[in-house]
Amino acid sequence: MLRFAVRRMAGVFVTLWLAATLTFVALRLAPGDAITLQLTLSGATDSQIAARRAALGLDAPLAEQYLGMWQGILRGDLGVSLVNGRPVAVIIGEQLGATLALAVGALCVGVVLGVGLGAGAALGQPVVRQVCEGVIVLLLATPIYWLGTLAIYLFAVWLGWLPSVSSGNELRALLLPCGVLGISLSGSLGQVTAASLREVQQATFVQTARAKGLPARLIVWRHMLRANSSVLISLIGLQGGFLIGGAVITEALFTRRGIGQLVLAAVNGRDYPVVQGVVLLSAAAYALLSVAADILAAWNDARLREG
Amino acid sequence: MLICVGSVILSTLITRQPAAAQPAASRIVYGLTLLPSGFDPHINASSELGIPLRSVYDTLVYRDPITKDFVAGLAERWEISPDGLLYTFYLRRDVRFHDGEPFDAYAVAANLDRITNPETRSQKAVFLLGTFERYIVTDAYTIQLALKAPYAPLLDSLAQVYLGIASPKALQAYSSDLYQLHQVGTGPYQMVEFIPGDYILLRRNPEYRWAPAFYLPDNPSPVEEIEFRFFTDPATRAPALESGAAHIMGELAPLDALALNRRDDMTLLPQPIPGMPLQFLFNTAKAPTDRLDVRRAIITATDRTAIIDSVFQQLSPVAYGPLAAASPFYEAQIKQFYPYNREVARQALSDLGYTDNDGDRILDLNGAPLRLIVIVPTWGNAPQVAQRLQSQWRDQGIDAELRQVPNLAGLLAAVQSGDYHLVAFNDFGADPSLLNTFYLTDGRNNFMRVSNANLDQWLMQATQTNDPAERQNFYTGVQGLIMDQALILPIRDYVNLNAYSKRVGGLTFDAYGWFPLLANLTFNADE
Amino acid sequence: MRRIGFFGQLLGLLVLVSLCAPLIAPYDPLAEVSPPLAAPSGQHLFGADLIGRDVFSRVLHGGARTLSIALTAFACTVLIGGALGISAGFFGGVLDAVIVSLTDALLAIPSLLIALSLLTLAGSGSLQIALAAALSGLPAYLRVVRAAARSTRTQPYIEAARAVGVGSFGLLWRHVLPNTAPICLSAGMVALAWAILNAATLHFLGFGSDPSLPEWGAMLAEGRAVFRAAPWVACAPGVALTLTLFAANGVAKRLAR
Repeated sequence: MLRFAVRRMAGVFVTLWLAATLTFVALRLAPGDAITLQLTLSGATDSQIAARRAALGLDAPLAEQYLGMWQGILRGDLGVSLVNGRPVAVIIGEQLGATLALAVGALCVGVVLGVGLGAGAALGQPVVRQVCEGVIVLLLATPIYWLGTLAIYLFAVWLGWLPSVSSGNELRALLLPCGVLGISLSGSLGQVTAASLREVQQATFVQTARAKGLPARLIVWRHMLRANSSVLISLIGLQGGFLIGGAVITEALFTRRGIGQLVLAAVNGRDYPVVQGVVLLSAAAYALLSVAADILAAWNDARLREG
Repeated sequence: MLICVGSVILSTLITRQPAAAQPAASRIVYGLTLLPSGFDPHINASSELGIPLRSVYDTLVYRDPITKDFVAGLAERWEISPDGLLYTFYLRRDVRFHDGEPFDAYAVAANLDRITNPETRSQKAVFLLGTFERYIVTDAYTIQLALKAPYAPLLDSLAQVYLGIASPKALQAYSSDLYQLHQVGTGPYQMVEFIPGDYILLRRNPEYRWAPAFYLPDNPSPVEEIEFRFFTDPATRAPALESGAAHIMGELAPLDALALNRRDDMTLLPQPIPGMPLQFLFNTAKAPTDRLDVRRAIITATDRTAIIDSVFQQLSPVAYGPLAAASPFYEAQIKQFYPYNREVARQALSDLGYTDNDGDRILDLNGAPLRLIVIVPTWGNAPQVAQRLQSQWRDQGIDAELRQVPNLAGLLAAVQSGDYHLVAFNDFGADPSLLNTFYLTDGRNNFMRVSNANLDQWLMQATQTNDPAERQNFYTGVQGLIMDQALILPIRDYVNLNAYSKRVGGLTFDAYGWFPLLANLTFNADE
Repeated sequence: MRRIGFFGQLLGLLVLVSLCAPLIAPYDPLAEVSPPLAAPSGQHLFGADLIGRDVFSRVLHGGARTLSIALTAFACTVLIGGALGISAGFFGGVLDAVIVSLTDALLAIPSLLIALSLLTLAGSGSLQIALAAALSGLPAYLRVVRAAARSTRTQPYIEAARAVGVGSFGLLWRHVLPNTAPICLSAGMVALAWAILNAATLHFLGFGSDPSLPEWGAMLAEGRAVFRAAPWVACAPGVALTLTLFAANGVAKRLAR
């Protein structure tokens, strides 16, 4: 167990290093830089722009910039934004709470709905199965910005039940954005749940249980979902990346602050330190989540073998 | 690594704001459209920041919103030396900042110090100062600005929010990265709270007694508090107004604006913006648009009215030249250039040797089809306009390949490659010197790759002379020359489509078009 | 015909119609042939868009482009992701460690950022969009497949076969692959849908290539801007997209059996 843990921690560091390095390379290869973009319409001359880039160390050799980035990270310093001069840790920190609330809420909605739809599509009565399958495909075919637009018109404009502007983390403000992001998440979760449930259905231990005369519902919950859960857990662990992508759009739709809006603006403005900071944060979150998922899955597998 | 994560989490806890104070009786929500990364007017360059901050700061001078003439602001009057090198400003003596500090020449000096300090890394304000060399405080209420060379746009610069005068005490209290969260000016509204990415809250300044002439002397029912929020997705703007989540909104999509205008409880206010219209700039260094007659034929082949009718639902005027009709020094004679005429265009192209030899309904010359590469940014309705151009030209044997770019970085990279015939662009500003970076031979944004000695000379001279009649002469010449050389395909003057609910009235904008005069807004309690 | 089932026939029909679009489409998809936003009529079955182009013709022409995005994404994901994921899950060891840390790194970067940087670096053509949309979904797919393959390792029938002396590749081919195929295919379905929607999202964020070229995802984004005045602009591509996914889903389920 200890060796497993050590190996897993080493894996986490490799993940972080690779993610940061890939981002560094991608950012520096992209055309344009923050300073040129800021000054190109202001009437600055080439030499003024060059001087300002030099002052920020943007003209240093890439290797030097790369080392500088890591020195900063190891000191716990993520640098300052090239656009507004504020520390990246603070900029990310002030947006983090809003995004976490959105992501956790959406994940809850998505998992409950997705597993429900998946179970219905794999195990339900023929009618239920048809309906669940249909809903899953419909969800897979609907872009999140359409879902959001329809939800805004329905709940905010026509019914007037919920605000179209989501400020803060109160339940009322979170209902629409979490619902929309969660529902768009549930399509893919439902699809995979259904597939792996169908597969487990054929497995020997389920057949055995059925032969032993256990009631169907018990088989589903005790055996199938549990057997299925390693796949599901690792799938849920993977949604972090999708959630940030979905958050970019959900936040724009409901004028919510958060990491998504921040990172999109930073990419468009080539604000390297901010992008790098968001990637490190998401990498750390992902690595921790996936370690947790692996441990859960291993524990679950062990129990499965015993029972 | 853990330190990084820890510091992020910790700063979340630290920056957690106390709950906003109880909203005042008359509080409205004003919808902004972009989400700028920085909100310090001395540092950042976004137009968006001026929408709230125009009312937080006063400037030394103002432009009258209607006549666009310069009028007194924090400076009661000013003098310009005959050689144009020394500006003397006589300041008001009754002005106080929101923090109670008195306004005087030393405050102006402190602001100029901050803007010109390289550490500030000003993205716009310092460049607005042009040839500014130093200031001289002659007494507590008189300050002189000395220039290295005559710079006609200086007054225009001083009238802009980017050169708004901030409280020296606040500038000293906060480092240059934190000041944007705690801005203090002398304007009719003061900043209460700014949560980045979320909202900005302004409250009326009850002490405001030094308003420029165009503010209502006594507004019977001013709006006490205004909350600015960011509606970055255009499709969410109309529903926000309809659901009551916002009361004023700009940059509406034309179809949404018309739908709102049909409602009894909404008012539509299209506001023209001075500056460069939405236009497609020809690359004169790449065949076939290196030929003047080809460029002329392409403009003639373009039915701009049809574009205005469909894409802009007739809510924007057709543009005819490099300056919008709302700009000072606009020359109306420019409208005579290149009226839409398919036959004339077809004839001109066939005179140049273009015929359809291979029967694909696209004209060609020496085996090369007449195919234009168009760089299309995502903003300003450019994609729709470009598609409309494509479909119009297609009918006349001109093929267009549209290359969309997602952001300014992409646009500049595409332009740098030189592989394009047209690129869509627009820019805002009241002083026509904004043409310089585009049309001067060595201008940074010379997307046309034009080099014309007359153009260079006239643009430079117009920037150096303070005599309005002389400037008008130069700019008339510039506008005529640009169109005679067919350097651009102008499409539409930029119009900001604003709508507001019945809860507010009296929405008007300043001379630059983008910035509302919040002090003139009235609040209707019974709606 | 009966062997491929109803969904197979539907999918075949969709592909056929898309391939023959130039022959069937009544109008040039890029030319303005009607007043802008005209409602559906006998002349224009699905109405006209903001430019005055025939939506029916655009949906037909958009099929080929959309399906090729879907196919590129599906092929990339299922072939590359499937092969790597199954090998990693089944063999374990160093191979697993390398594959897992690479996918971990890719997963750790928000998928949208991967797609955006790919487009920034490689330009924004149709193929690039397809690849960006596919690649940003690939690591997640790989992980799911790996987990499925891993869980077969401990199944009794595998252990039994191993005890009988069946070699690794034999096991992989005869036991692991058939048992993970359902997951591979149905997660591949998700990847396919995800790629189309991801391409649409990239269009929505302004990272599309030529806005005039018809493509269902882009048309959905376009139709949203005019949906109050002309809902038909988005309806037609939306229905086409849903039908395609239904068909592909049905086929995947049938193949898995």
